[in-house]
Amino acid sequence: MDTLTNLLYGLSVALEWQNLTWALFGVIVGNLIGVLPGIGVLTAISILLPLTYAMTPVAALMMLAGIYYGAQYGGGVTSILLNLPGTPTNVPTCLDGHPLARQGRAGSALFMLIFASFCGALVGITIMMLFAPLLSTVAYRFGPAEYFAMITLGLVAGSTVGKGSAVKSLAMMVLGLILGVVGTDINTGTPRFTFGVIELTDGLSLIAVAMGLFGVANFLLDVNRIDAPQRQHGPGFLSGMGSVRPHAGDVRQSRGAIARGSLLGSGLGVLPGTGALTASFMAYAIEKRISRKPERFGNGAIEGVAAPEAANNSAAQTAFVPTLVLGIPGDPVMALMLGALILHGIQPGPQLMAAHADIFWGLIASFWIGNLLLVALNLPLLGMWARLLTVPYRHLYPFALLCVAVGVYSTSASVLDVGMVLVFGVLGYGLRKLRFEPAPLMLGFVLGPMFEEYFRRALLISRGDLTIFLVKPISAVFLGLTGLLIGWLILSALRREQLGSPRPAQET
Amino acid sequence: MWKKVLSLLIAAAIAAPVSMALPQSGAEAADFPTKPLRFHVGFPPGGSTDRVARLIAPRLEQELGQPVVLDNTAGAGGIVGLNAVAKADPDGHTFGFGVSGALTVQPTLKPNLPFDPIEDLAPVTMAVINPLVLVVRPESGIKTLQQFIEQAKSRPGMTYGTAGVGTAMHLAGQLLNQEAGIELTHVGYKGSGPALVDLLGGHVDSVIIDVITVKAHLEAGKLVPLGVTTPERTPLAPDIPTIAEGGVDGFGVSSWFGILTTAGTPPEVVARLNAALVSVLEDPEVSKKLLEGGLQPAPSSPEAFRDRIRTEARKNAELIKAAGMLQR
Repeated sequence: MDTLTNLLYGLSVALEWQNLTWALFGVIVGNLIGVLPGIGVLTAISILLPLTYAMTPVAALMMLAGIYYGAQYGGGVTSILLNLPGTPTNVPTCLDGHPLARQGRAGSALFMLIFASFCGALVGITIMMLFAPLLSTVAYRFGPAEYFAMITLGLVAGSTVGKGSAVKSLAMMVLGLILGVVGTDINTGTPRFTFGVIELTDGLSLIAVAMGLFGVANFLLDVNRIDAPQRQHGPGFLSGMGSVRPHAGDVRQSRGAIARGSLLGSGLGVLPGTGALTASFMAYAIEKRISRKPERFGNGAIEGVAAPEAANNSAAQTAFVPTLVLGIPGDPVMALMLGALILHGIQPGPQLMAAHADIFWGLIASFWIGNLLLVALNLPLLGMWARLLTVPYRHLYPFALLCVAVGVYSTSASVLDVGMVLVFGVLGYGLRKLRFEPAPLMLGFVLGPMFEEYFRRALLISRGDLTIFLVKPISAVFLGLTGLLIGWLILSALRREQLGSPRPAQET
Repeated sequence: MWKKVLSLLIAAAIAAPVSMALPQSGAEAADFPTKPLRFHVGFPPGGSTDRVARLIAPRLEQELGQPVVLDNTAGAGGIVGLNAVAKADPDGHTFGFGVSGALTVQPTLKPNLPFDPIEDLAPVTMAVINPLVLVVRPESGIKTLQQFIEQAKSRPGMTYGTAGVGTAMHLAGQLLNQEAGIELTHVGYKGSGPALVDLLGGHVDSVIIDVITVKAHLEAGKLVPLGVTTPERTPLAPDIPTIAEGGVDGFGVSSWFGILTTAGTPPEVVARLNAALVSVLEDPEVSKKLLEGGLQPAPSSPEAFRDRIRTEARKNAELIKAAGMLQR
């Protein structure tokens, strides 16, 4: 009842003319930013930050938040159409979204993207509304040991995200871990694998690696068969792309995936530092793991779009919990939003929720409105996005490449990053030709540095005592689950051998 | 992006007639500035450096009568931006932020910098000080610095978290270890936010952090301040004693950033830049905004700024060697 009163109060704040306008402006800009590959949310928000000087704090935060979650909707569009993740959290969406588009089912994939995003966001907001203070204590409970154990589970569960040979997947993940090592050692400040290039001391740019391995590599692969889709599939193919009506059963098939993805995302979103990115990878990995036909994944399984998108959108909502309830920014974007509050003379901190109820509940209410608008905005656009594929590749690809280059450059004004996109594009091309999948590499690259960071920090705090991982209950549970998972993987492999049937999913 | 492009266009539009009207007269102070100025922020948009740059750039344009173009080329803790300043034409039209870490810590930690922060840059003025504070949780029962030091002596392996290796926070901790004769273990994070979460969750015992980040927590009684690291109290939180007052004589570490231009710039040009920047930083409206954002305005003369960089670089080098931060 209390929540309801608060929500109504929030709605009254969010529906104020000025607040509403800025929130809508925010989601539209965010949606666009998401669709444009390479331009990150962080860049967009920092460009628009000066606009907020003249606004009320509530309106400013609503607009900035709108950009943040609006981008999660848009980011999947290019993942599906061009294998080009709009933001890093949309990488897993490429894995099945793009194959779906190639099969002429871009429409259903896009519909699922919006549907799953919306469901994920709703679950996230609802959970946040009911349990925000409780959730914020969860963030405290996660120390280095707990994070380490959770990431271990993520890496093991995710080791199977690639299709094809398990050995090749493992090799790619190790390569990803090695690439993640590039940069500055967090404990000693020693530069590692930077070869004297000063820009590399910050590590390889995640967005550059993702754009190169997925987007640019894909363009290179397509160059030699520039009009292949039409030839392969006949004239009816393109009209199939334009159809946005979901296949019968898509939603039914994805119900479980959306539910699991949303819950996982809501949970991980609360943890500062891991958030949406880990959530979308883990959601994908889980779906593939529990699927009765894991070989469908990577070849156009609709759940492979639904799960990560539900996860990253719910995570994008609950990511506001530590920021609003504790005044602790979970990631650089949140830090920027807190900065906007500071600019308006509001001290973010543990009393924000009580002292500035209009901000907290107004923002929650604006999430509802914003997400409804995003659906209303995107559904009519789906047909248009899908028809984007009818643009001949010789026009579409150079333009997309330009967008990638500009976007990557705008992140830190670094030409090196643009070069890196090309290098990883060529690398990705070579790897794909040799049937190495880039997905495990991305997972290793994303989780590897965190894995090392938390492991070493936990040992630093425990003074080298390894039992810290088993003494802490949360950590012990995660490690126990990891052990069970490994055991189950070995058992099922053995059983398959006993049955004498060859491992499925070996062929690509 | 659009803003940058737009401001570049405007800059070009304004600059074109000016450069046509004026014969090339070198970098004489009377003419300075003859073209739009480039301001290297050194960090991506959104951080505190960027906030300050965007706050002072419009005022600087008024003072100097030329557009000021912000450049957010970022990387390596501000080194990449400073490198561009160091390699620019020495005419004062290119300048940028130098943060204390990049100018006084990195040269010792990373011997392969592409430029010499002392020889290749000309200090213009100190800009702001970002005051730091040592905090613990109320649950720890520790209320004063003395209690903290006693506990650290009796319980080896006590930890302190900071925003990362080689930051002013880290140096402050090492100096505290050295001066108070204790052995706190340093736990480096990627930025202050995660360090704060781990303190609140009780995973580290203490944290050295910028005052503004924990101000609300201090006011709410969720954290206990043991002392600010600066030699004097900070106007941001005048009630908190300094660490020196708490019994560690002569203790003083600050995190700051100032403005530098290319070495070899004529002294008159540096003086002109200095005058403009000092008047902007001393503007009541600007200093109020800076303080609200947690930064103490601290304009200075070029000479005072140069001395400060040299003194701190030397002290930090000694500290880094004594603390064995290089050995690993």
